[in-house]
Amino acid sequence: MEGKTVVKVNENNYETALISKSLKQALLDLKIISGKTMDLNIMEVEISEHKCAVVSIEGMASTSSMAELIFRPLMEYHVNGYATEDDIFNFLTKQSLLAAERKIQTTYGEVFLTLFSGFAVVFIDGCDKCVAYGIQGFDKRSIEEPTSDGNLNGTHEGFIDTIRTNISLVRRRLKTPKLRFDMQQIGSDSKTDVCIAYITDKAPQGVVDKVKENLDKIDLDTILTTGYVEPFLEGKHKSMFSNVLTTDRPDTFCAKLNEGRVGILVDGVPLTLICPSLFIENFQTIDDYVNKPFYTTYIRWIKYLAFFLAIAFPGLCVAISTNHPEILTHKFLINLAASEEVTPYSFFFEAIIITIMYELMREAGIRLPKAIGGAVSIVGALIIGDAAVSSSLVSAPLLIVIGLTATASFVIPNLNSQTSVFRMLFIIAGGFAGLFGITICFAFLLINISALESYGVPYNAPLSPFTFKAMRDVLTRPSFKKLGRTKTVVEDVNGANKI
Amino acid sequence: MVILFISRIFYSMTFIPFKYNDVTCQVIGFSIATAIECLAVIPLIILYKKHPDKNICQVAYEKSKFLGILICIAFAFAAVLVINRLFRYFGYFMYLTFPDFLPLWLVIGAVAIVSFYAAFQGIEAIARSAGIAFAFFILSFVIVAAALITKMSFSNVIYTYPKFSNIWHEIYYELSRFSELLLFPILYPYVKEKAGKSIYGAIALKLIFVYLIITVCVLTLGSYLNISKFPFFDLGAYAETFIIERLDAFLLPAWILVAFVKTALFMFVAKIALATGFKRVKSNVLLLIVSVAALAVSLAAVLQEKWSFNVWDKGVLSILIIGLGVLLPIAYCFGKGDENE
Repeated sequence: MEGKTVVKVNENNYETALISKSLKQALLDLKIISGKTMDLNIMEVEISEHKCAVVSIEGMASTSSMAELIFRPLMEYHVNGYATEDDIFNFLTKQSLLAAERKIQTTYGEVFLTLFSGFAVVFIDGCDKCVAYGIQGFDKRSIEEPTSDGNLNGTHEGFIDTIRTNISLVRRRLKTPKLRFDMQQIGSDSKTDVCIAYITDKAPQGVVDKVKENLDKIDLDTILTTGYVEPFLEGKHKSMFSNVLTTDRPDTFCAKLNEGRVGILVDGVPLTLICPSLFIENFQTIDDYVNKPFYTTYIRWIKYLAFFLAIAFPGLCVAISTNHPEILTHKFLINLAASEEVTPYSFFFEAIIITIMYELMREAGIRLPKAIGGAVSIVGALIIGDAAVSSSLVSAPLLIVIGLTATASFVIPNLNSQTSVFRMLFIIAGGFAGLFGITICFAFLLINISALESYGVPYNAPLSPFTFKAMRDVLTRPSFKKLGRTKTVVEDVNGANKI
Repeated sequence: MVILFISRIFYSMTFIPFKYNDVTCQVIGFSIATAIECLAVIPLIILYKKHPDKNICQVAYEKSKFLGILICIAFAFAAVLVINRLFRYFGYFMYLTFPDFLPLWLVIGAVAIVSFYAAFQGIEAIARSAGIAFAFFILSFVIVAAALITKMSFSNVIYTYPKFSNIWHEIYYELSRFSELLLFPILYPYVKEKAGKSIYGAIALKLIFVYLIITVCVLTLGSYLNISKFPFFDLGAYAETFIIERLDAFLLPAWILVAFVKTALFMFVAKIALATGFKRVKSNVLLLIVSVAALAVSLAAVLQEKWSFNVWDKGVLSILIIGLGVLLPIAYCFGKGDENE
């Protein structure tokens, strides 16, 4: 080593640094790199009179598995006479099956990545390699009912926060070797596992490559939720709508993979991402494909109506009552005038106040613990529903309008953020400029949706550009016989550009 | 096809029909004008076949840089004139229908801003919006027509003897509004279907809807047509259901949507034309310049309440439409086409 400067391993240069042959030095390096963190467990042992060490992170590796799968076989290992480092290494890597997952490591970077993923790493004195065993034992949430997308007839299993469990939930439903999971780590500090799932003969390779390319572009320190990844998958378009679908349901996830989409699972989050996605998919649920087609068709139209009500109904009411009362029938107009006569403010101003109050209550209900969340509803109902009307601060018809709007917005939870903002914009536009303002607002909404593309597929397809074949599953819900006969994948819609 | 139709139907929704109180002249004149339109687009289709990936400005620029720049400016100027005319029609409608509703500068400004946003987003966004606007137009027209079925009567049909001068005037008036001849030479590289199919499909759609509008207007309004300024909107006012007293609420949004799509299209055309001639300037800067110019010119006219079909429409715009939409494609029809023909 004459003439060469020996660089000491530290927390900044450890990733590519090779493991020291000396066990003492290797363990010292581990302590230096980790800053002697208290959760680094080092158990030094002698195996057949040869010095070894088992390293793990407290709480990440299962102690019972470690005792059963690592310690016992190692302690029982015996050769006649003194065992060399090669004997032990061969035993660990070739002559035994201590755990389902086994990795041979050569750098400290690899060692820490596996340690922080719940592996136990066995170091052998005199050997510049170590062996990591997957014996994860960290606490995780059990599989529960999906929270964000409730249904009646589909599965009651939802994704959880652990990526491996989520992968198994998908694999259990799609038992084809064509289903691929490509794992990569993203986040320079968090090194979060992000997994791309797709079916090889269904997902276009261009889309798969583009998704990988977009993920490679992520240059963040940490990835804590899907929200960190989503903007990188959405592309350049600046729209209020997202062209990436989110779901915490394995059945929906699998259905989309089967339609040729690419799914992205992020470790630590139950929500998964699917791209490309279409605007119309926000109205489709897994229940649609369980119920009879006639009923699903009916419910779908109710959902489209709900979207319209959630966005434009208060704005339209304000526009008509304030600027175009001639549209209303005489009786309706008289009733409306009578109820408005006793209130101190205009219909327009009342609508803004009540909408803001509704948003306040909704936000408080979400953020508060569930036990108190119910109390917010009671306070809301008492204040808005009773006191406001009885004190003539707001009119009863307006309360009906806002109540109906709020209920309608619950029907399409995926579009909640967009409907909330556009609702307010429509009220303001309707109040100031009547139907003209509403239409201008609608035009803005239309361009916002129309400008969006999802991996070469127009976001508002198959409505515009119109694709008759695909529209059958939008206007109605064809039977499975028909769906099976005419498979429409998302890349087949008109206007889609192959990437 | 849809964007060409949407662009054309804007005029049909307001000023069809009856400027001369003579439906027969209108129908004959309109039919002859449509036949002429079918012939006028032939050079464009040939040009498209010769240069499928280049718009007419690019073709001109490649042949002569100076002439190319002149043609690009002419296209942008024509687009500004079309937008100006559209805004005057729009302003006139708002002035008559909702006089105390909103200041006209605000109305025109709002449409211009939304159109600018659409043009900024590109032709795909405009085309997809046009598809929805088209569906909305059809839906609103069907609803109004359905509500009027019980009020339609053949006793409202009054036959008038056509005057040749009125027919001639109608043909000229109709052809001068055929500004789609300016759209296609610039937009055809973006067209995915066959050129002939797009153009003749749009003309056929226009023919069907104009005849439908005329039929519904005649059968419903009868002699009221003689004094009506906006017969199409009067249909909405006359239509009544047990829920809504008047259905013009359906027609107004459809018309505004059509107006915004048409404005966005011409802003986009001006942007593409200028971007071909002035390659060093960013295309969005050019779009902003064109949009501000069109808005300024329109506001100057609208605020002075100069609504009528003026010398710019009669003379300059008509010459530009014929020159850029018919004569220029004929000139470039001769000669060698692109290799990827």
